[in-house]
Amino acid sequence: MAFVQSTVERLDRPSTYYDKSNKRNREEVQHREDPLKDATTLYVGNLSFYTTEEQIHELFSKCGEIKRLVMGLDRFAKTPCGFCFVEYYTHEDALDCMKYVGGTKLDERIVRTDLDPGFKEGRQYGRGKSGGQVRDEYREDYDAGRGGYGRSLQSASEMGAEYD
Amino acid sequence: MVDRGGRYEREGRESRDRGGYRAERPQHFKKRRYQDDDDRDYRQQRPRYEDPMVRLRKDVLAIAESPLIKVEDSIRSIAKSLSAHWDHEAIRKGFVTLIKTLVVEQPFKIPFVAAIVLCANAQKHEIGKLVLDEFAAQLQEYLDQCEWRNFKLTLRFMGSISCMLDGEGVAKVLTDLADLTGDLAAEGGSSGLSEELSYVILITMPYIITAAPGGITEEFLTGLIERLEGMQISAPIEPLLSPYTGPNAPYPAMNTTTLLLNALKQEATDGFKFEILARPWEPFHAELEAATKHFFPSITKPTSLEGGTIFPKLYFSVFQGAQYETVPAATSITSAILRDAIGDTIGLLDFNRIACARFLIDVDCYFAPNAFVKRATPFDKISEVPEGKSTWKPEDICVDAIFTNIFQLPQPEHKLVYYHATLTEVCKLAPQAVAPSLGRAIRYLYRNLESMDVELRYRFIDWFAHHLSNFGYTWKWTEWIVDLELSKVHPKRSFIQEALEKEIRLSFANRVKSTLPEEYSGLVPEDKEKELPDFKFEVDDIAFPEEGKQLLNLIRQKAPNEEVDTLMNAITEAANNKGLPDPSKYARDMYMTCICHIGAKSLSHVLSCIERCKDKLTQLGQESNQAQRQIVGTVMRYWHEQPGIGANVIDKLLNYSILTPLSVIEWVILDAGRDALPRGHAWEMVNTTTRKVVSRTRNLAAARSVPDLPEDQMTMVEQGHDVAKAEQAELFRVVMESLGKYADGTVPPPEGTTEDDAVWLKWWAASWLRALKRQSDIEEAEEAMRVSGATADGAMEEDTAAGEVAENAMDEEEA
Repeated sequence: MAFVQSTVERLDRPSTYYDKSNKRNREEVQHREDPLKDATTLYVGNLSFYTTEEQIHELFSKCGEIKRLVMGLDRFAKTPCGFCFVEYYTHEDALDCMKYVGGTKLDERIVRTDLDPGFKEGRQYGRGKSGGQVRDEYREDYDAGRGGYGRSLQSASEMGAEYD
Repeated sequence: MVDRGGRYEREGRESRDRGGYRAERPQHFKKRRYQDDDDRDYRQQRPRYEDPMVRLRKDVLAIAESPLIKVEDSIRSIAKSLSAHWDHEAIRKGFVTLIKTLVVEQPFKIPFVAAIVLCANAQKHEIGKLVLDEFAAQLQEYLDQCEWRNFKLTLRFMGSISCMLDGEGVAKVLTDLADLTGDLAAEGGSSGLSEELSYVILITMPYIITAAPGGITEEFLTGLIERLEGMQISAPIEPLLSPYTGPNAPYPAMNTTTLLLNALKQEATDGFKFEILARPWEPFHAELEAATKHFFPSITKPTSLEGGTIFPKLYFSVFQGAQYETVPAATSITSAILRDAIGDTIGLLDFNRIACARFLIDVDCYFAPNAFVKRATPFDKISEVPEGKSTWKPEDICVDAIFTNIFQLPQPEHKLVYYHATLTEVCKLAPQAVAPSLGRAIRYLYRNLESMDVELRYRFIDWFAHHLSNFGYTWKWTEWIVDLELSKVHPKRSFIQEALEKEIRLSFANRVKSTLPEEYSGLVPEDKEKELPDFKFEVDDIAFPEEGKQLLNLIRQKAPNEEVDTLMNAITEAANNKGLPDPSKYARDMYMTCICHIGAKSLSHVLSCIERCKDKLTQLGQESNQAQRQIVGTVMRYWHEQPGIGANVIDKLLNYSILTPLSVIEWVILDAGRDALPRGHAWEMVNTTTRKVVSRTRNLAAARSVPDLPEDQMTMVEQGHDVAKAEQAELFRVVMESLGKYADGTVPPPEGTTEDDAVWLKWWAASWLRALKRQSDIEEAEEAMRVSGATADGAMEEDTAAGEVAENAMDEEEA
């Protein structure tokens, strides 16, 4: 049957993040097969630094058995920095997770889920200047679950401290 | 929420942005505003042009959504624009596709869409004709594919446009369906399927009668109802599907199809009123009378009906027998109609739970005006509703419908977490209205824990903890303080304990503790707050403490296997010399404890440790079934304060085939014994394990029926399936036998058990037995169906063979 647009938006579609990261090769991308077609992995964001693998497992296994769970780590400190990859055995479980778990709370924070083409070694590390995620570099709000203020703000105020 | 613009609008917007002056000087890039800014900007804007299809789509999708817009005005304006643009193919195609999708995605709106089509048909009869033809083709497709829900909704739509139909209309389809049902019943075919068909016929009736009073005679419907009543056969599995059992069950088990049938019979004597349904076409009565009528296209009966096992659906409610009737009585036709429509909305919109929640909150927009009390009317204000007015709370009706899904046996349509998430969204959208309803629902379920099926009890715990985790763990725990005095094996006391355990798994002990009154502190002991459990060889008075620490170091430092083996052999030797019974168990317990301790930091840690020591673990498990049970025990002993983590580790060991499913089940039922039966993790372990076994057998069975499988592979699959089937049978046998002995008292309770506790322990065993018997019966029935399906094909081949032989014989005679 031909594709029919739903009367209501679907929650199991990938965000635009993946498209954006390929801006340079967009034309090439259009010819290639959709890499998320059979995706079984999810990127999970906005976790607290203190959320454990067991907590993630407890919530995410409600959508199906988890094959692998990779915690996102600070590149230098090797401590959790607020994201992870959850891999299921089936594509369907991953879609269900987008529909039923994305946007709900874990450890009292709303978590964000996104379909992901699959974990590769190295992706578990934060890509921010100071080792964590980029979003935690310049954050201006105070977030106790993610190390307080953004790191560059923190270091700026520390630099000023010597003049006190 | 609703994507009313869709693709068209988005494309349109892009092209607008690309053209004109705005691209050269975007407003937001300017540093200052000048006085003439406003003027210029408005002048520079190109005139807005909206594609008529985009507009149409937006309007049709929004139909009846807003209580502020008179729905008859919307209907009139859509119908008008539709007939004005009907010459455009894009409009014709777009509209028909849109409403075909709308009908099977947003069933609440069916009567309103029907009204649009009726009105448009009165203006331009080609519209009615095309819609009818397209829907008939679609209906046929759903029928051939046995997609019953979509079939039902498409048929409902066609029934709702009955007043533009000539001749028998939908009645013919209903008669045909009844014939099919009759054939099924006569053949002794699937009772689930014949029930489903009866249900589809019955639930369509109210919509037809409402849409075209007189178009279909009441005698015809009454006759049909009687005919279907004669065909009802109840499924053998049905007694095991009731949510409550025992003398204190809040209500008896009620089959929803039977309820609907009886409600319709009652309605027949009252003259088929169906006051709950909306009648949006009524204001257009005069116009519709004069409109062209069309013949209903013919629908062909399918030659064969397929579609797996369909289980009977049983009534479930959390608001039965309340002081005020906030949901329609179970036996009423209103209850059946609402539950059907809301149930379908929930079932269909799983791809957007937020949209689904919005529809549920707005449910009062889509039925007869004044069918419900005002939204968010508090429960104690219901008493002030004047006599003769509705006391039905829309929030209660929706909450009830979601719980009906969560508590559906054997399984709801979607994963349970979908319903959790939808309840969360409903609460977020209208907290003032929904939270009190939810509170009453929780209390109702809690009150009836002593009669609730054990699997449903676990689902209740799972939902409750998950729900609270989304709302800061706030609950009026004070009202259950009295129940803390109850024995630990009492279902209510056990519920409290297990709900807290689940909360801790989603959060952490200190956080959960901070949300509880002082009286509960005993339920979250200090030990649960420890980051790592103790390594028993360091603290306990235990055999071979030094060796334990040595082994831990060896494994941690990744010492060569020989060193580990030497140490472990020495321990067994020493135990033997001391004359200890089962001397090899010490080293085994020590090894597994060390792995738990090394991996205690996180799931990945324990996984990588298991991976590394896989061979040794496999070897330890292979010694005997008893050895595997001991390994399970060691893990659960190590994690006794956080049994959920222990259960997870066991599950991984099962995946590595270090443990067999049977050993896990035997450990729970025989080793942990009946004291473990009230524990949530115990049920979880048994449930996950049996489901794994069952799904493996099913997969192998499915692999058998792959066409054109090479013979050697077929033999392998066949053998694999036989082994799996035997293993599964053995597993269920062990479970039932042991639980049976607990339940009937053949095995007396441990000494020192109080009389009351003994009664509860028997109760636990009996309810576990029922739940597992249900699983086992379902699997047996499935397998029987697969076998009968296979032999039916085989038999047919034999028949033809026999026929050929007979023919040959006849030929010979002639010769």
